[in-house]
Amino acid sequence: MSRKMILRVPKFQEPKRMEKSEAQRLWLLLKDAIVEVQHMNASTLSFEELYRSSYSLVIAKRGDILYTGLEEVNNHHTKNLLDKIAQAVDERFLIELNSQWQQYKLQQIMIHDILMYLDRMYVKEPQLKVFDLGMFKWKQNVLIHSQINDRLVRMLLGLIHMERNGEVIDGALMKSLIQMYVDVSLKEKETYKQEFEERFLLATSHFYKSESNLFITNNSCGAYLKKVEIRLIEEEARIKQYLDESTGPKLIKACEDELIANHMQTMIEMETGCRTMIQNDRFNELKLMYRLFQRVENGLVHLKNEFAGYVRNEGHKIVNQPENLKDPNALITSLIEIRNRFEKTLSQSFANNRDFINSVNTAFESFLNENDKLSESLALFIDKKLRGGFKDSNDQEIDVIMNKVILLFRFLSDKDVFKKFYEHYLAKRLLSGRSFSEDLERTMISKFKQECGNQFTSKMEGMFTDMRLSKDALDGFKNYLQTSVEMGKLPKIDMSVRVLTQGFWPTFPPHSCTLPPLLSQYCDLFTKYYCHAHTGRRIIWQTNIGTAEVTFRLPKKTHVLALSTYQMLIMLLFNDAEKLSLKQMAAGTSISFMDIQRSVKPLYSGKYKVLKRTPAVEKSKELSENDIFELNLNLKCKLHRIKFAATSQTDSEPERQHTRQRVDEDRKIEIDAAIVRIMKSRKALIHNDLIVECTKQLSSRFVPQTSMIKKRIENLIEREYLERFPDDRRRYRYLA
Amino acid sequence: EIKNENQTIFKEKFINDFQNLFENENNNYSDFVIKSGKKYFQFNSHKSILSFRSLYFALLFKEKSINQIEFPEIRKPIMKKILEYIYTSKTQISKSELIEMLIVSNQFQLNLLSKFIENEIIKN
Repeated sequence: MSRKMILRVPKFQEPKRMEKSEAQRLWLLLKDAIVEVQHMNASTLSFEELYRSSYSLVIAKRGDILYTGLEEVNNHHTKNLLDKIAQAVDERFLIELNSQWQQYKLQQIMIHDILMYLDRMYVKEPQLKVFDLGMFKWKQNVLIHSQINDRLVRMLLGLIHMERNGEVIDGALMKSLIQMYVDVSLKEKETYKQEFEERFLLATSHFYKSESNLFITNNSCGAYLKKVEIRLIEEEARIKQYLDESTGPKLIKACEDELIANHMQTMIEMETGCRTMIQNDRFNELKLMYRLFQRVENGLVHLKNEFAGYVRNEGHKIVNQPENLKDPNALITSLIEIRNRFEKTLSQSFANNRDFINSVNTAFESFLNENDKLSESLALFIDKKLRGGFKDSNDQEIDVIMNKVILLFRFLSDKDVFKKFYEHYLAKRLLSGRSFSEDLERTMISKFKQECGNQFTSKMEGMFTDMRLSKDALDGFKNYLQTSVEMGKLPKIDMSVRVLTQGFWPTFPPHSCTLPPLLSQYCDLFTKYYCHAHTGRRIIWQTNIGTAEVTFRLPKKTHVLALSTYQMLIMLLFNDAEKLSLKQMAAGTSISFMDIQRSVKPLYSGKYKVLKRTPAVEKSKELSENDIFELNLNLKCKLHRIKFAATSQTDSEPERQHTRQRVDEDRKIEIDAAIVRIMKSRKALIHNDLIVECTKQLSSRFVPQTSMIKKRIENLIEREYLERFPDDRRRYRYLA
Repeated sequence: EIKNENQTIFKEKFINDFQNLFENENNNYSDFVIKSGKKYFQFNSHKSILSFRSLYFALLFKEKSINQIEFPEIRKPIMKKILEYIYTSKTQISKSELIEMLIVSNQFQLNLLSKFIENEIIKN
């Protein structure tokens, strides 16, 4: 089975072992040559002979004679050099050392060439290679000798110190001498590290510790930062010029520690420091600070916290300023302004660092939700813009403002409150025909849609649909009137009706009033027409938000008055009476006294007074039931058409309350839905987990109060959606 | 960029030319003579090529005056193969010659060749 393998080793004649005397002769030949080289004499022997001699010795297994001999010769030579170098005084010392070293290195290269065969074929670890042996002997007998090492390091460090103080030194000499420590290191530059680098780094730290302490107490933070930057550039250059590159990171770290890390707190707190820079938008100084702080551990955290703290503080001031609390427009405008300002700081100084942006956003979130005014203020701000505030802006500017609005909106935790207010003001804009541009309205809504999804804007979009359908319905009604039999009996009036789908629109507080018979008839006609066209629908008249135009005939002139429905009703009363008390007005129109007050006020106290109070009293006086008014027949006005504000633009407190109540009602439903959703999928859950889960689910819309969630849970238990576990009262079970 | 699709043909031509360079006895441009073997067979060679290929020769030619060298202990066929390697990077070594080749290769500091021969010896 197995085949015998015959290994044939080719015949080779082994060289005869050399006689000792012959070996000695060859060594002496080589020794002479080496000594010649060491004395910088051109060798009298040819390379070929020397190479062949060392080759012959090695091949004849006499390499040991050569190697130990070489060691001795090097030993002897370096010891001689030590004396020569140590004798040199002052600056001569460095020059002498350097020139001897340069020569020695060259010699070692030449010796290596001659003994190349020895090097490759004889030297085995842990023996040193021929060249390394030369280096080792130099290190052992010259460099780390007590007469040299300390003196050399002190002089080198002294020169570096001088250079740091602005003097010019011989860079090439430095490089050569420092490189010597690297060259004589056998592995991982250990001699360089132990003998030179360590002391150099220590001296560096020491130098910059005292310099930075002195400089920062006598200069501004900006000047100090510039100084640090220059110092770091200098040290980078120093590495390139004469240090070993492995020192680079250590040196820079030492400098950064002394110059930056140790003074970070000071730079932030000092009078000319970080705070002042942020306050005064010193973008360049902040940029420099960012760049430098970035280099040290946790540096940016300090800077970021300081910046975020400032942002929070500024925001806090703005949202609590009394003037701003009264004027939503000013409030939002200043918020947009500081947002712009901080965005500029972020991009110009902080390289739009993600962490910085996030912490600024967190700051905005915190102060924007400090009080509950913001949702409404933001809605009012947009309201003003969309009522015509955008008139003088171009598309691009409008887009910028809208995006800022969305940005602020994003920070609101109670988005549902904002939504209610927004819907409320949108409804008012649409119904009063005060919206500046439907396109802009839709653009704004589409931005909310992008941000929060369909659900958020479905009602708003429904309002626009209603507006369109109303127009169709009205056209249809007009055609219907022309063909109607009853029409012939009625005087013509121009009536416009808007049909609003319940649910899309905010519910307006119900008010009743008595319409004049004519208008009443028209309303009935419309109801008849509409319910015929759309079976199953019910119409509820909301007269309180309507408008009307009436003709006001004066003895010499005729005016058209643009009024609210209520004001029209009041004015019509004067067709049959000269003087009326407020009480009588209320009785004649069935309008609540409060609404009477609000409606009458612009008619007698505005710029154009169509009513006057008799007897005349001070304007400021509160109206009472018994105050009597009559028509102002002496009205002087150049305009043909006079417009009266129905009510003040911002909502009255009760209306606002009403909006809030509705938000609360909606929240209850949302929380119920969330609880049921969670319990349906989880079946059983511990109280706290349910609260957490519920809060999480709703956080995109609002932050629910725990007490409210608790109440809803109780309520759901009553309605038998959930039950408590009999043995563990803190656990709930879902009842399908 | 013009692509040379005849790379291998070109390479072969190149190697053949270099083969001739040291085998051709009427080589006028030779500036260095290597004599080898007991009969001192003469190879006409070129300092520029030798010094580029072998560290030993590079150091040897630092002495400008040198233009001849003798290696009586190296047999002619071995020397020829070494030179063939130096000039053309081609090698065809029979098993019986491996050790002899290794010694000369080491002597001339032909490190890559030495490594190759060492591996061959281990394999055999």
